Formats: sequence, C-alpha cells, structure tokens
Amino acid sequence: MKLTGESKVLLGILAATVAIIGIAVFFVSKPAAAPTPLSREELVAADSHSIGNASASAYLVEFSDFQCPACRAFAPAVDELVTKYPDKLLFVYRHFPLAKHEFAKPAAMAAEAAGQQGKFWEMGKLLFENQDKLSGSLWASLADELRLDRVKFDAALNSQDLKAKIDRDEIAAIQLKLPGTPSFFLNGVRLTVASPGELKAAVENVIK
Amino acid sequence: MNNRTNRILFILSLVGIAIAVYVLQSFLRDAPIVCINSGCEIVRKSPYSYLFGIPVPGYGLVGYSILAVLAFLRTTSAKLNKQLLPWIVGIGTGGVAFVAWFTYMELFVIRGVCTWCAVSAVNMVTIASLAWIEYRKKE
Repeated sequence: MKLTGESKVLLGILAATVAIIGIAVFFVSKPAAAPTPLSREELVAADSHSIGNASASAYLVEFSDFQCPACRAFAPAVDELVTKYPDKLLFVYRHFPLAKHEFAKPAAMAAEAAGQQGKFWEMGKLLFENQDKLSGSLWASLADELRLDRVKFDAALNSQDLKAKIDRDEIAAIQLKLPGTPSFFLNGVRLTVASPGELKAAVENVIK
Repeated sequence: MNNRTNRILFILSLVGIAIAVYVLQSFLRDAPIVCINSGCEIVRKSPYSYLFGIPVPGYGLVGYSILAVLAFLRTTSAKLNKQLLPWIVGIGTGGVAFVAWFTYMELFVIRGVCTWCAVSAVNMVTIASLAWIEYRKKE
C-alpha cells in the first residue's frame, strides 16, 4: 500500500483524535484512582455517639437521617455489625437531617435528648421503627416507652446546645459534599454501597 | 480527488467511532451513560437496544469503522479513490436506514431519546449525504 500525502494527513488526524481522547480519558478517570482517607478527627467529633471499641482499628461512620427510608433499611445491617464485632469495630453515628424531611431535625433532637439520659441508640431504634408516623407528638410517647425522665427530656428537646451539635454534624456533612443519606465512611474512606449486604461485606472485608 | 469531502467523511467516521465506543462500553460494563437528559439510561436498559443479542452501539462501531477504513484507503491511490466511493455511499445509506429504524424505536417503542444516539444519527445522515453528493458529482 502506497501512502500518499493525503493518506498521511488522515493518519495525522487519526493520531490527533486518539491523543485528544486518550488525554481526556486520563484526566476524567484520574480522580477516582486513589481516594485519600479522611482522618478520624475530620469525621468524628468528640461528642459524637459511638458504640464498640474506641481503639479498634476499623471504624465506621454513618451520616444518617431518622426520616430517611434508606437509613432505616441499613439500620439492621449496622446493628448486626455492631453486635457481631464489639471488639473489632467502632461505629459512630452522625446527623445529616435532610431539609426535605420535615421531621428529621426534631427526630434528631429527640434522639439527642434521649442520649442525655443514656438512651440515644434505643431512641434511634424506636425512631426508625416509627418512621412512618413521625410527628411532633410522637417524641413524648417514645420517651415514655423508654422510661425517660420526662421533665429532663422535654427540656432537652429545646436545648440550644443539642441543636448546635446537630447543626455542626449537618455542616460537616455538607462540607464533605455528601450526596445524601445514609453516607458511610469506613476507616476514613467513603463507601459506595448500594445495599445493606454490600455494607456488611465491605466492613467484614476490612475486619477479617 | 476530492480531498476535502473525504477528509470530512474520515473525521465524521472517527467521531462516530468515539461515540459508539463510549456508549458500547457503558452497555458492556453496565455503567451509567453521561447524558444531557435521562434518555440514555432508559435506552440503555431497554431490551430493544439489543439486536440479535448485540448492543446497538456495537453495530454503529462496526459501521463507522468500515467507513473510516474505506475513507483512508481512498487516499492511497486514484483507482481506489474512485472504486471505494460507491461502497461508502452504500454503507452510509445502510447506516441511515439503521439510525432511522433505531430513532423510530426510541420515539415510539422505548419512549426515551438518547442524546448520543441522536448525535450519531445526525452524524450518519451527514456522512451519507456528503458521500451521495460526491458520487452524483463524479457521475
């Protein structure tokens, strides 16, 4: 085959096209290559609610919303992990009450108010169980169910300190550019898990 | 030898190859297609986007590749330049029939229009038109 001048022009066009696409693909795919893990300080506040072994090498942070159906769907998987690996895992709950959920913030306040009496996780569980009937009148009945001191609980529901704590979690979630809830971080790296089964597999993969 | 038209045919064929490769890899990897509307995902997930078990962009890739090779071979000699033009016209026309069929399927059966498919359809119509115009001139 004889290459004329025009053939060389076309080969040049082909080479330029391949080079442009190659460079574009390289730059587009580069950021996904190595996610840098966030430090524990960046993800966990000193007063965040946590469960498990604080000195465990694996730690799982969840940004969650009590009115979010997906968070409720993931909750049993988190419970299972926490129960199964009390020594090998630290689980940290952080609030990310989404603006579209009317009762997300009050529910977070109820959980924090219960937390002041040592019942944060119990209240969280009840909130998920009653997710379909969240309302301003629900908190009191849940508090009674947990046998909380109602005077302290009711006062805590309006506490500015607890509100500030939830707001601070929410700001952290926004700064981390989280796309929604639940968002999980395992050892500082954000997980892209589509199902509770995938979450369990990801955590167990690191623990084992 | 009409260099300019053939160059345009070659470049448009490369554009077609690039689109087909991008969309085909999304089909094969089951990855979402970056699209300006939601149509690409509707189309990608439709069973009508497979013809005899092969994803539709696969046919596009083959068609555009043949067109690019033919356009290139036309530059190697005056004889091939003349002989291969009817082939480009034929394959381009077949390509137009194919994109017409698929655009019809998108509009009336799948009910979702994939931007990349639309760009590719316009591209194929342009290629076929240019080839026809050159062919008529040569006659």
